[in-house]
Amino acid sequence: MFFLGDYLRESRIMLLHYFSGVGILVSGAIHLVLVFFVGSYEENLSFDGGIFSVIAVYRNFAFAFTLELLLIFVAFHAFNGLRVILIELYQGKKWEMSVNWVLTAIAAFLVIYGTRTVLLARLI
Amino acid sequence: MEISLSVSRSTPKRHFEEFTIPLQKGMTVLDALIYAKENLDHSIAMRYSCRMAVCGSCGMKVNGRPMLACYTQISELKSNRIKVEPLDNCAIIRDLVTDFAEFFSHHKSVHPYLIRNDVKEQDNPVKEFLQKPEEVEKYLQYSYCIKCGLCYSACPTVAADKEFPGPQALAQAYRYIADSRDEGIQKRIDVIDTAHGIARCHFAGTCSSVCPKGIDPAQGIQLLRRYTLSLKR
Ligand code: SF4
Ligand code: FES
Repeated sequence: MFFLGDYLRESRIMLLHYFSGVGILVSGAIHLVLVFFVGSYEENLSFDGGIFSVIAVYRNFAFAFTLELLLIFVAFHAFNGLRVILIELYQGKKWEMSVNWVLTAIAAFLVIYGTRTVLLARLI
Repeated sequence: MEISLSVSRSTPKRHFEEFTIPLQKGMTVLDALIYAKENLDHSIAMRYSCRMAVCGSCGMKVNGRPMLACYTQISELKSNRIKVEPLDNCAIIRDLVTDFAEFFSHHKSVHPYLIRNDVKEQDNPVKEFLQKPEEVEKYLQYSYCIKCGLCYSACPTVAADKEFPGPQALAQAYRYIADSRDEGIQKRIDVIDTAHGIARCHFAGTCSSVCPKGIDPAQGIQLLRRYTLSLKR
C-alpha cells in the first residue's frame, strides 16, 4: 500500500491510519467480547483442552472474521506509524522508497501468514 | 545600571562574547546589540532594518527563545544577563545572521499569491473582487505574517525533517486557500499533501507561541487539514 505513495495522497494514507486506529479499538473490543461469549471462557482458554480449545474458537465465523480484521488493522496501523517515524528521521528518495518497500513486504507477509493461520485453524 | 550581553560569535568557532552595556529606558535587545557594535566590537554580524517589527529581519534567540530583537525590550526579560544566539533550524552565515534560503523556498513553494483560472481577467480586471467582512476574517491574521522565521526556527518537525514546509509556509497556503478570490487550491494541495507535507505536523504549537505578530500558524495548519482531508472545499 505504501508504494502507492505517488498515487495515494498522504492525507488519504493518514485517513486510513486514523480509520485503522478506530478499527483496532472496535474489532479488538469485539474480539475480547467474543472470547468471553463464544463458548464459556474456561472452554475457550482453558489449558485442559490444550491447543484444541483455542482452535475450536476459530470455527466461529464471527470470531475468525473479527480476528482477521484486527490483524489487517494492526498491521496497517503499526507499519504506517513506523513508516512515518522513519521518513521523518531521515530524508531522501532512496531511503523513502526502501522504507516503503521493506515495510510493505513485512506487513503483507504478516497479514498473509496470519490469514493462513486463521484459515488453517478453521479447517482442522 | 548595566546589563551583560552575551553574543554568540561564529568565528573562529562558535563561542560567546560578553559585553557590558549601559541600560537606557526603553532599550530593546537590538538597541543593546547596536550599542555593542558601534562602541565595543564593530565585527558583530547581525541583520536588521526597520527596527519596528515590520521587516522581520532581526529574528534571533534571546535567552533561549526565538524573538524579534527590535520588538523585545530589555525590561521585559526580567534579567540583566542577556544571551543572544542565531535562530535554530537555519544554517549560520555569521554570528547572528542565518541563511533563510530554505525558509523562503518553502514559502515560495506554496504559491503565496492569488491564483485565478482566468489569468487575462486577473491582469486586466473589469470589476472589483468584492469580499464580505466574514470572508476577509477567515484569512486576515495570516496576512500579517512578516516572514521573520521565528515559527520555523521553533518548530520541532522542521528540526527533524528539512523537507517539511514549516508552519509559516503551511499557514500561508491556508491564507490563500481560504481567500474567496483564490482558485489555486489544487495547486497548493499538490505541494503540501505529500509524505513530508502537512501530515507531518504534530501540533506541538511552538510556532503560535513565538509568533511576534500574534498569528496562530498552528490553527492555520489544522484548518488547512480540513481541505487536504476533503472535509471542506
Ligand atoms: S507566522 Fe509569525 S513567526 Fe512565523 S514567519 Fe510569520 S510573523 Fe514570523
Ligand atoms: S528590525 Fe525589522 S523586524 Fe526587527
